[in-house]
Formats: sequence, structure tokens, C-alpha cells
Amino acid sequence: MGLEESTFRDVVCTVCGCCCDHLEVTVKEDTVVKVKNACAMSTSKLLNYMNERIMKPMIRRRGRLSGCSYRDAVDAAAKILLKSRSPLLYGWSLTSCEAVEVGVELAEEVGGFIDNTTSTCHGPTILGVHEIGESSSTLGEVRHRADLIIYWGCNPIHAHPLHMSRYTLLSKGRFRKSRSERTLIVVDVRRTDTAKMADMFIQVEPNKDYELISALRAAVRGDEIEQDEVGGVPTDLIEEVAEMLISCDFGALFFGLGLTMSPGKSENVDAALSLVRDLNSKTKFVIIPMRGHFNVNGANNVMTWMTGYPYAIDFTRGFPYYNPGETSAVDLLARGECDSALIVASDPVSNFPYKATCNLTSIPLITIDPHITPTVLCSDVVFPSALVGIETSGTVYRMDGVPLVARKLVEPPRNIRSDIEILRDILRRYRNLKRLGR
Amino acid sequence: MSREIAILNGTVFDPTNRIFGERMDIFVKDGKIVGSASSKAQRIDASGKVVMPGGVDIHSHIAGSKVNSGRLLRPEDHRKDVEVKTPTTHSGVGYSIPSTYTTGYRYAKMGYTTVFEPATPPLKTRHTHEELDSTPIIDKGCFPLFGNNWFVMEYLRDGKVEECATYVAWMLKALKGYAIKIVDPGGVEVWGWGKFLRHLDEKVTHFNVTPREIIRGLCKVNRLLNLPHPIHVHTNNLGNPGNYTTTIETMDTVRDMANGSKPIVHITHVQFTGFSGSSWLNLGSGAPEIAEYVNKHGHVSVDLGQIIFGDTTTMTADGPFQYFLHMLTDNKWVNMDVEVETGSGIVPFQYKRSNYVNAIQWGIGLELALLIKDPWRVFMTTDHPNGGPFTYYPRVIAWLMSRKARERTLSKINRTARRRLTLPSIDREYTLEEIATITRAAPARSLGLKNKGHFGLGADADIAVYDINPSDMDVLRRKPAKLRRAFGQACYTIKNGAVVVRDGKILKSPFGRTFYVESQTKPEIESNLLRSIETRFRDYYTVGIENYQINESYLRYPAKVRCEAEI
Amino acid sequence: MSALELTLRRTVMAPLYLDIISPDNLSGKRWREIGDYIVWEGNRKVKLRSLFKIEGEAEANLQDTLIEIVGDMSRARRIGYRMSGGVIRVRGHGGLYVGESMRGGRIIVDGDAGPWLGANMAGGTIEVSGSAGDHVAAASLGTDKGMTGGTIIVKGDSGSQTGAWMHSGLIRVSGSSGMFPGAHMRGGTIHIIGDCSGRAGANMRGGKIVLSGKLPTVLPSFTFEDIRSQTRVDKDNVEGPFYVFSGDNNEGGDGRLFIKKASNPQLKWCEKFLEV
Ligand code: SF4
Ligand SMILES: [Zn+2]
Repeated sequence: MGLEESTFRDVVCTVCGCCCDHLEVTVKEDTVVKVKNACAMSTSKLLNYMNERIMKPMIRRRGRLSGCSYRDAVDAAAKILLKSRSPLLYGWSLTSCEAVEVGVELAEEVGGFIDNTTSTCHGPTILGVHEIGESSSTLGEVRHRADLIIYWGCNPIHAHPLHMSRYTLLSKGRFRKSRSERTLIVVDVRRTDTAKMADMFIQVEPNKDYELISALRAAVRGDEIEQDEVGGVPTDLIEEVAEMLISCDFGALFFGLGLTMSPGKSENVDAALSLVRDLNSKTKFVIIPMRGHFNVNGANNVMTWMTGYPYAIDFTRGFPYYNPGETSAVDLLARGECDSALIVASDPVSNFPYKATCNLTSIPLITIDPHITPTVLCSDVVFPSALVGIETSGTVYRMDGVPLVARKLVEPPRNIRSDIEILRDILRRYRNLKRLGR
Repeated sequence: MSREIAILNGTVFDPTNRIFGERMDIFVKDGKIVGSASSKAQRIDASGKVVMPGGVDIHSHIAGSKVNSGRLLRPEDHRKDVEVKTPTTHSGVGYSIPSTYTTGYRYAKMGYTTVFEPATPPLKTRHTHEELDSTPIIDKGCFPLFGNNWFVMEYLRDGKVEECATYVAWMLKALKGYAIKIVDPGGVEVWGWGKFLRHLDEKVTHFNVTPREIIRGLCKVNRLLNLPHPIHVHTNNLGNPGNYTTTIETMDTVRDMANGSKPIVHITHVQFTGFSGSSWLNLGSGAPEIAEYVNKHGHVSVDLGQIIFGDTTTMTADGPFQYFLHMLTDNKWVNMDVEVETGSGIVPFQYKRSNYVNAIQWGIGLELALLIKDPWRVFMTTDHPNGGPFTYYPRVIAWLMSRKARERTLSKINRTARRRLTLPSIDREYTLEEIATITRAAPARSLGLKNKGHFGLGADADIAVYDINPSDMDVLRRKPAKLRRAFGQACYTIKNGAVVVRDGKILKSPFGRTFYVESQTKPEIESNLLRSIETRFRDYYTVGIENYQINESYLRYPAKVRCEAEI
Repeated sequence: MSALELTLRRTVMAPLYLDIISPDNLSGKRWREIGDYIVWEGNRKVKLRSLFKIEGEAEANLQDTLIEIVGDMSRARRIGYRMSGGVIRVRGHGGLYVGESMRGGRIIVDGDAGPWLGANMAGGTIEVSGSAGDHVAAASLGTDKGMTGGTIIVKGDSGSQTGAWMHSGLIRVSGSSGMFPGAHMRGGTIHIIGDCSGRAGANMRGGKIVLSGKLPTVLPSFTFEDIRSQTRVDKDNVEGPFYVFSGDNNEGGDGRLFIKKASNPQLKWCEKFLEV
């Protein structure tokens, strides 16, 4: 890639789960100089991805992180894993499917746990699906057909900025041409910017989503609700909403962390999935989780096809075993059950609960990340890595499971490798050491 | 380095080359069948054993978004069947929706070396390829879904068959697909509105085209493109009592396009569309009628979709049928509609011997296999995992080969069903050469895979050696358990000239190839078409055409099959 | 009756898979043989001897077998897995999945127990002197069958989803319980003597939940039936009066919630539906 200015079209964005694929990115001298069609979040990432980068591998010596050769870092990482009885491999939603595939192989080889960030965002969604299933569709179906759209416990204006214009309310579909042909209902605990665009905003009391969904299910069934209000919402209004749900031609319910991370978690999702399932006996209705990271869905998919399970997989006994709560990262760490960890493109030190973080920082920690993060600073071995979708290519899965290839646009800084390469090298070194019996 | 193998003294079944159980040697060099081998060749003593080409599965749901959603839906399915890591294999889970590695290993252990995933939503075909590339040992390919595709329906509505053909050719190339798959034509589009479509001549809402027109149109397209495999059809009305008439009507609707003796339409998992009767209470087997039609008409082939009693996971692109199954069973349900193209559904299901309907279904599959006379036009499948997991193939083989095996199961099924089935009165027992035909030679021919399913010189060295002594056949027929064991665990499986399985154990697991079809249409026709679809693409899809196409370099070992289009 | 005593020798920093420890596996075995048993400690196989000091003897007769485990087992899993008779007593934290798929006999935990206590239990008795984690008596992921028989008694508190997917049997919690006791319940009885954080009986289709303490609110998909002065739990009479609700209507259910009137004045509104 040379000095000439060149423009890439149809670039896949690697920020949020919308995986918008219509970006135009102009590159000159191996840096991004212009971004078109993207949202602010995406533009900012593409223009600033060189900030706070790690430029060389590091190892902790006498309490301090200091630069080292790549070989030494690989060797140190392999040795940590080799000594470990219960290693945890965590992260995986900000990297490519190809890297996750190597990650699963590594986890199997070292006899450890592999978990992705799902366990702290949409894990409950998956637990709900195990029980109920889900009636879903790709986003294009919503664009073409939906006359009723619900955002529940999510705020796409800020978290998924182009979701509405590309896929839902403001998009132009075959059977729905404009905003006026669609109705938007927003359910949230506060009047978010998304709520301001709604035809109907329903303010639910904090942590009362479950009650409200139960009431809606009852109203959809045509049952009488004996209470005057549920979760702060008057029963009359609930009945009115139920009528709207039943009488639409094609409804789509999107939900976010407001549902999955408020008390009740998987049961909240369970209820939402059940509501949508019930509605299908009256009309057409789909439900789609608003996945956050650009490839968290891909990580789930790869792990599922390789092991049968989407996250929180235990390989310690040589076969895949799955039980979130028992085998998920936060819970393992909270019980102090891991004796080393490898983190790929994630920052658990900033995000995990206190007790889990304490245990995480007290065990040998290997981190692969493009940027300096609190987790990197607590690590014993650090690998700088190339950014997927900017400096290296890879497959990613949109929130609705549509697979896309995020392309390489520029060369990574010198000596900076992709996650795949680093993981493969660690795996190779591990196998060698094991064969030599060290 | 040349890799040579000599398989000596086996009893060889190679129906394609009219070898029906002859004692002979088979030689392998560099992954191909050759006429002789040097003294350095690895020698395999196959005396007292049966040697067949590697198995070819024409219809088995092993990869892609729907299969993976099935895995995600059912942790309980995996927990009861796990594979522990060994020095030669990865760990995994099994039962009805095995993980990718396990899928490859288990097929290889049964002597199967080629498997086709029969339903990939085009928009998610990249996912299908990722999984196929993660499935070791076997060669594979996938059939993109076309029966509810907006472009296809519009071209056919407007009578633009040639444009449609050009589009299909481009799609197969862009997706690295192998054949035209049609599922519930028009019905899945209507299901996009939560509605049902019941007749071949009912118009698809908003598209003004009928299932019959879609089937006929795509059949013509298939012909224009000279694709190696005929249109692969999952008919309308699947799972409804009386649907055998839809099956016959579907076969008959393309009769006038027949092309010599070569089948031009393949009806898949025909058991599921072989119901007679008008309700669940008087449900019966439509197998005799369907078999009669197939026997009289050379333009049709079918595969069984045999059911196996027990727990499994049903998954099809037939969204409305899966919803119906969910309502019937109250079991958990996944639905996934895919913009512009198709849909899919998943429901766990238990086939029970005591259940009248299930028992009839079991009978329909076997009746079809036994009443259709020409083994070259009926292939063994369970529509994995819809009828049951592919790991039960040995059981199906035993039912086909041994009247005794059938009688044993018959004695345990629902009594009313037993009374109403023709099956108890059928004496036919498949011979080994017929088994070799329906499990490898015929599906390979139907797929147009010239180097598969036989031992002609230059054929791919995909070979299965089974511990069956053909001179003991009479004994084996009385001991079906032995027969099952023999077909369940190959003594040797050789894939592409390498011994990958010995005595049912995996020795190594190289990755196989992915077949896809390129039917070259005239360049100017193609570029005109591309221009016209490019403008519509962003209107129809939520992704760009650039990101929709899959480069050949995306596949691990792509294997292009070329054909000449007539346009 | 002599006891087999296993005393933990060292701290364990990895998951410990102890499904082998059950009277069914150990009765009639000599301590030497038992010491040679192999279990997984994380990804390593270790001998029981290296983990535990093994003393005493296991009775030959299953029903008479008593196994005592001393030490903090909080990182252990599945003590008493599938046991059908005899007694296990844990002095210390019992770990995860205590008594999973238990079919008979008795487990006593002198201390707390982790999540999935008595998951898939089919028979026998578990008593926990301390508190239990989430998912007491739960079903395996993806299945709709949790506890099908037996008794679980928790003296302290229990976590959320106590008795989810329960089909039969009895759970009694003396302390308080988290959310969703009896979620998806099909049958059996749950008695929470302390307070419950809410959503009792969500999606239940059958069975009975008795709440003697406070419940914030009843789900809108339940129907108020009646006021009863008392109700039976196992062989005991529990004094009320109780508000009785049926549901969960969303699942076409016919379960019963008994909610103590005295502890729940906020539910007084339902009295207006009383037929006069
Ligand atoms: S909405 Fe999400 S995917 Fe689309 S451009 Fe913005 S950050 Fe990227
Ligand atoms: Zn199929």
C-alpha cells in the first residue's frame, strides 16, 4: 500500500454489532485520512485507531513491564499455560472468527476454559434460547416488512447509531417505504434519545421488565389483568399495546442490556422470547438481540460449531463441557478457580466485578490487544496485535448472523502481528514444550 | 513421494463399472485409483471383506447457520454424547447435531467420504463454508436455496428464463454452491408474513407467480446451465396428510422437460411428503403410489429421509412447516427468516414407535426404498438430522437388507400402523450391490461427480472396507446386529489415497475439498445481468454485492466443477 | 456404623470433579483402593490420596455406608452424584452440584452449598445447615425436567430459581429466597419460610409454592382464587391465612401460590375479587 491516496468502498465497520458494510474509507501512506457513510463512533475509531497503541511485546520482570522479543513473549506465554491446571482464555468478540477458531484449538490443547464476552452481555439471551428457542430473522426482513418496531432496554441512537436508518424505522424497504409506514414503541426506564423518536414510549419502573412482559403476554392471550398497573404502567395502556402487537402485519422486537443485565436476566429474555413466540399464533413477529461488539456473534458461532456450545466452555477434562455460572469467566474467577489467564482483545480488569478482578490480577496474565488498557497494564506477558478490519482481515458475524469479511485497509505498524499469528505461535510453542516434556 | 496402497483379495462392489462382488485387488497411487502398484505399496489384506467406493451422502444437514442454531438450541443433546480429545482427533459433541470435527470423524468411521449440505441460505453461505472447512476428512459441497428468491420469482413471473439462468449461474459462482435447491417454493416467502401456501397453483403474495411456475422455471434454468445435479426439491405441503399427491404433482409438472433417461428432478426426503389420507387419524402411506410413479418415469430420482425412532432435531428451510411442528409438539422452536431468499426453522422431535403417525412414517421410508425398482434413482438418507442422525445409517441398511431386521422393528411399532402398512408383505431384501448403489454409486452419479462412487481408473481413491464376508450373507441377514456393526465401523476408510480410519478408529484427519459449480454463461449476458442486479442489490439486501460474494480463496480446498451453459 | 473419613490435605485452586465420591462407588472398598481413585483437579488427574487423608472404612452395605468429608469443598463439584443410598456428610462448604441426580440416601452439609444443589434430583434427602446458591434442584440446561423426587432442606437462604422446572418432591428453605422460586414448575412443593425477592412461580404449570414471608408482588399472569386459613406442606400443617393465586396463565398453568396474608399487606387489593 503506497503513497497514493486510495479509497475502499463497501468497507465493513468493526465497531458495533450492526456491522455496517457501506463505509467508504480513504487511505494514504498507510493511514486512514477520510471516512464516509459511517456513524460518529465508527469514524472516530477509524481515524484514531493509532492512539494508545502498544508497539512491542512486553514481559513483566521484577514487577515492571518491559519490552522483549516476540520469541521470548511466545515462550513465556506457552510456559505459563503449560504450568497451569486451570487456564482461562477470555475475550474474543473484537477479533475475527479465524482467530477464535485458533483460540478454541488452543483452549482444547491446554485443557482450559474458553469464554467470550457474551457471558457479561447477552449470555442470558442464549440461556433463554436454550429453553424457549427464538423466532427471528435477518435485519433485511425487518427493513422490508416490519410495520411495528420495538426497542426494549436498548438505546440504538447511541449504541448502534445506524441501526434505525439501515435496518429499521428509517430504512426504505420493499413493502415499507418510509417512516410513516412504521410504528415505533420504546420501552425503557428513562426517556432516552431513542425514546424521543417513538410513537409510543413506555416508561417501566426499574427492574420491572419481567412483570411488564408477563402482563403483555397475558393481554395478548386475552386474559384479564387483575392489577391496576404493572411495573408503573397502567393496565389500560398495556392492553392497548397488546392490541398494537396483535394487529400489526410484521413486528420486530429488539432488546439490549436493559433486559439482559437487570435482575432476572435469563428469565427476562425467556419472557420476551415467549411473548414473541406467542404472538406468532396471531401475526408475524420476530425478536433480535442488539449484540454489542462487532463480532461477539461470530465468537458464539465459531465456538458452537467447534464444541456445540456458544461460550463458557470447559475443556479441562479433554471434552467440551458447558454450564454458564459454573464455567463462565466471571464465576470461575470469583471462586478463584483459575491459575492463569489469556485475554484476547478485551479489558476484563475494567469490566469485571471487584472480586473477579482481584483474582484475575493475582494470577499469571497474558494479554493480546492492540491498545493499552488496564488489563494490559496488569499483565505479565503482553502481545501487541493488529486491528481486525483495519490492519488485518477476517470474518465477522452481524447481530443477525449474517457473515461478512472485514477487510485489511492499511499495513499494521512494523512487527505487529495478527491475533491468529500470535495464537498459532503460542500453540506451536506449547506443543513443542509439551513434547519435550518441559 | 508417491503414496501407494494395494487392497488385496477383497470382494469388490463397484456398480458403476458393473463389478458385482468380484474377488479382486484395488490399487491406489497419489490419491487416485490405478491399475497396479509397485512392491513398495502399503498392503491391505481384504480377504473375506467387502470393498466399496467411499460413501456419498447427497443430503445431510451438517453445516451452516441453521445447523449451528440447532446446536445452540440444544445443549441437552450434546451432553449425552461427547467425544474426548485423543492424539489423532479433536474433542467434540455428537448425537443429533454433532460439532464439525465430530461430524467428519463419524462419517469417515462409517466409510463415508463425501457429503453435501443441502440447504444453505445464500446470504449466509459464507457461514456454511466456514463450517464445511472446519469439518475434516470428507469432501463436501452445498446447495443454495432458490425457491423463494425474489430475483428468481421476478424473472419467472416476467417469463425471463434466460435472465433467471444467468442470475442462478452467477449466484452459484458467487456463493461457491453446487446445485439448485428448492424448498417449499413460494411458501417460505408467504411465511415471511406468517401465512401459509397450500397449492402448487396458488399465487405467491406480492409476486404473482406460483410454486408450479417456480419449479418449472428453475428446472429449465438447470437445463440451460447444464448443471451436474438436477433441481433438488423439497416439495410444498411437507408434513401434511395427503401430501403424496403434491409430491406426484411436483414430479409430473416437469415431465415434459424430460431429457432421455437422466433424471431432471430430485425429490428429497420423500418420506416426509409421502403421506396419504386426509387427517392424522387416517394417515397412511403414499409410498406405493409414489413408487409406481417413479418406476414408470425416468425423469425423477428421490432420497428417503428415513426416520429412526428416538430423539432428534428437525431443521429445514421450510419455516412454516417447522412452526406447525412446534405447535404440534409444544417443543422449543427457532425460526430464522432470511431477507430476499428463504427462511428456516428448528424443533427438537422424538419419533416414537408407539406413535401411530411416526410408525407410519417409518414404514413409508422403507416402503419407498423397497418398492422403487431402480436403485439408481433412490438414495439412502435420513435427511440428517430430520429423520434421525446419520450415525444410524447402518440401521437403515440392516432394515433394507434383512427382512428379519424389519420384522423385529415391525413387531414393536404401533399396531394400527402395522396393519395399515404394506411393508409387512414386502419380501425384497437389498443385495450388497444394491446397497453400494444407493449409498455411493447412485448419489455420486446424480451429483455428476465423475470421480466419485466407483473404482474406474483415475477415480478418487475414496474407499471403504467392511468386515462382511459376502458368502455369509444368509447368516448376516438373520443377524442384523452384525450387519449394523460392520457398516458402522469400517475396517478401513481411505480418503484421497490416505488411510484415515482403521478398525473404526481415526488415524489421521486431513481436510477434504469443497465442490462448487461454475456454469459459464456468455460474458456479455453476464455483465448485463450484473449491471441490472447491482442496481437492485442494495434495495433488496442489507449488504453490498461486493460483500455478498465469496472468493475462491476463502475456501480451504476449492474444487471447481465446470459446465457449459447454453446461453 | 463406621465412617469413611476424607480430610482435605491442602487447598485446591482449580475446579475439583468429585462425582466419584458417593456411597454407591465407595461402599465396601478398602481405603487403599479408594486412595488410588483418580479425579480431575483442573486439567490434571490426581489420586484421591493426594487430596485427602483417608481414614476409617466404608461399610460393605450401601445403606450403612457413611462418608464424612472434612474441609472447604467450595471448588468441588458433584459430591454424591447419582447416589442411591447411604449417607454423605460434608463438614465445610459442600461445593457446586451437591447431590446432582441423586436417587436415594442422604447428604448433610454442615456449612453452605454452592449453586445447583440437588440438580436433577430424583430421590433421597439433602440437608444444608447454611445457605445454598442459585438453581437449587434445577434442570440441566435445555431440558424441561428438574427435580423429580426427594427432599431438599436449606436452613439458611437460597439463591434465585429455586426449584425451577421441578416436577415433584419437596424443597423447604428456612431463610429467604432469591427471585423466581418455582419458575417453570410442573409439580411438587416449595416452601419458603423467609422472604422471597419476587416473581414466584413464573411460568409454572403445576405444583405448589408456599411463601410464609414477604413477596413484593404477584405476577400479573396469576389469578386470585381465595383466602385459606392453612395449607399442608408434606405432612405438616402450615398456619395462614394465605392468599391463594393460580397460574401461570401465560403457560395455561394450574399451579398454586400460597402467600401469607400477614406478611403481605400490599396484596390486600386482591380481596376485592373475593366473592361475597
Ligand atoms: S452503527 Fe455500528 S457498525 Fe454501523 S457504522 Fe456505526 S459503529 Fe459501525
Ligand atoms: Zn433436508
